[in-house]
Amino acid sequence: MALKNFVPFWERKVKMKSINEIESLIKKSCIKTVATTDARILADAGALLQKPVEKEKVDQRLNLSFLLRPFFRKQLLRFAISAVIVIGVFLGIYQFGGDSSKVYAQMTETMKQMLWTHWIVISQRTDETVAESWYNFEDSIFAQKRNDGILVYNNLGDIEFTYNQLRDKIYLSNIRDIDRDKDFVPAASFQFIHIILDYLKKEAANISRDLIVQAGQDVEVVYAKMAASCKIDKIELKRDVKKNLLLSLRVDYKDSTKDIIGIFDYPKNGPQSIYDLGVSQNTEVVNLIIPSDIPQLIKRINSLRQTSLTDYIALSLPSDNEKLTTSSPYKIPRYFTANDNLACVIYRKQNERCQRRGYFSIETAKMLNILDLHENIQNISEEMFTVSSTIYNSDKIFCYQLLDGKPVRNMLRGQVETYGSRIFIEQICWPKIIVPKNTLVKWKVESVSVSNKEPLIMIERSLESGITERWFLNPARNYICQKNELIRGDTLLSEMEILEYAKTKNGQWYPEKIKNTEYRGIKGNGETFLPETTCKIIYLLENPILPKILFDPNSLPKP
Amino acid sequence: MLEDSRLLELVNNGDKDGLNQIYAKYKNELLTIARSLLPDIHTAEDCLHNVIVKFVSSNSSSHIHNLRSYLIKSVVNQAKDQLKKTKKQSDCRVETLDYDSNSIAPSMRMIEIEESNKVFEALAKLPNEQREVIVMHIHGEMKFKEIADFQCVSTNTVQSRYAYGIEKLRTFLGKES
Repeated sequence: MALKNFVPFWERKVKMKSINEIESLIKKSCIKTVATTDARILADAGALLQKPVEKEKVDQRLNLSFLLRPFFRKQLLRFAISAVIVIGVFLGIYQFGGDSSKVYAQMTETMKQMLWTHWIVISQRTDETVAESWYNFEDSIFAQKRNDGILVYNNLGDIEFTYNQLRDKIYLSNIRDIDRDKDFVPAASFQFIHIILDYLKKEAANISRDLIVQAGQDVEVVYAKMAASCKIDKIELKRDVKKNLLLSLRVDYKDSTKDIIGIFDYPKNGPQSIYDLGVSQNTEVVNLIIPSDIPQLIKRINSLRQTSLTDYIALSLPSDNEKLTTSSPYKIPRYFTANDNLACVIYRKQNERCQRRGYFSIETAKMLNILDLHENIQNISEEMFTVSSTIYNSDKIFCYQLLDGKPVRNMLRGQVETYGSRIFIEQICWPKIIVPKNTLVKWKVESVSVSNKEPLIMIERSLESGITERWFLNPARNYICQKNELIRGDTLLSEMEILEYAKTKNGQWYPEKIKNTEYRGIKGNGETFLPETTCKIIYLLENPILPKILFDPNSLPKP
Repeated sequence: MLEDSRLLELVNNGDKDGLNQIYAKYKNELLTIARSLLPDIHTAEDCLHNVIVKFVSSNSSSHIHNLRSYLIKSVVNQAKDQLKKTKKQSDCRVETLDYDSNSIAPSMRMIEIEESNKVFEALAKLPNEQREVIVMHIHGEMKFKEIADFQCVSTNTVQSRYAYGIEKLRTFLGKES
């Protein structure tokens, strides 16, 4: 039978794959994202989704919730600009000389001294109230009520209340820096006087005045015709001559659909809380305020990352039970044995950092006792067959890699402190905790008791996308982050935990044994990937003498 | 799973579920395309990240008629940009050494199966234009006419690129087993 099918070698033909087979092979070459990548991409993209970028309104009902904040801003900005112009008009009147300049200069001061300044902004096109606002300069409160929601800034308390009518929720958050910078808060509300000086120079306002009697009061009317290049056509303001207070401000735009008029009065009372503006006391409150101790903790961690463990050499080895038993044999250079393992030597001298990865014999490591290992880290790094080297120079990363003993890549990559980077010991100990801006974030800080262990401080940051990250700091060990968890919904995506600590000769704690686990989600066929755990041991020496060339990108071999 | 038009509408309205669904629907396909065009998984993930972030931030989702095609073209464009930046298409085997035991997700570079790697290695040896055509046609399931419009060349050119590319792959990927 065997002979029947036998084909002599001289008659055998090499049969290449068909086009269909090649196409099928390409089609099958699929890869899947991993859970941590998904989490990061969705967190970043999701944060932008929440970010109040100037999205076009397609459907007012649908967009309302999303646009609430920027919509407020736009209206505020528009009116702020109008107010800027008013002040500018006053300043323009300075040019007239005489008593009037003094009067108008004092008007803003008089307004500030009122208990409350209240005004209604009406659209001249629809005759509808666009917004109703209150200023209280003494308590530094600004409130604005609209048909679609309410916004209250308590500047002294550093709190912003937003009532989102569509969601029927009150959001409490800290006043964002961006709002402070843009004069949306009372304390800065008249800082725009300076801006208008430039504005007037550019727009060359033409100003005239008239004196009338309105409701028995002497009222001065100031007209300003703006230059052709200005979006605003003209401004009319009315001032109560006796009290020296602004009564109304009318702004006519070149696009008349935007025309607005603001009518001012000065009541003795104003809204003390968001509930005074018609929001039900039963409305759900979403507290997004960063607990006061979190910024302090983050500052402390950042400082420790910068200032602790600044001069060291560290050797990172997989723990004993982790030999090169990977299912991907192509990852191992063929001339290494199963007793070798991937080691990593890390150097830091202040802001200069270098990392070398390479293969190192576990057997060799076992022959040395721990003390020797500590003492011989520098020598060990020379024994290691380096397969890649990375220099972190300023904000750049330079790296090269070896294949079969030859450098094959020498390139510039990314930035040093990328989010989640855990290459250097200080990054593991005191990780970067990002405080996203323009994103609704929930923070939590609490003390966590673990039986028979030191109490930890937990910082929890939850993004609206459902991504939560937790950092467990150990106050007894210089606030080193003992555990870090990344969670999506109820699913744990990855965790890092320091299992054992050690101390340098200088008394500095550092992690000696670290466990990383990644939960890799679900396969295409519905089965769950097994969690992947790696464990490494770190040996660290502080204040070694490191050759300068270590940190020189030019020292890397060229391919 | 909702239709793309509805998902786009949700994203337009700042709805995260919409974004999550779009991402879940296309992520693996886009990553595979990115990986087919780029030298390593690390860069491919960056590419996917940039495409998704730009998709959300560009505020252009209301003008998209065919979401899948839009995302695939975005990946191809982004991959081109990244290749220009690095000006390198290193041997794919290099990444097998780029295993950082200290990083947060060490297994990220271990998910590619060896068989796929061979294909990616072979694809990496092709000129950019041929590789793009093959990837867009096979993975992106785009018609030659559509690819021709995208590459601003004639359909005949695209078909030639495809034929030459496949022929080279036959050589690279060797004999029938």
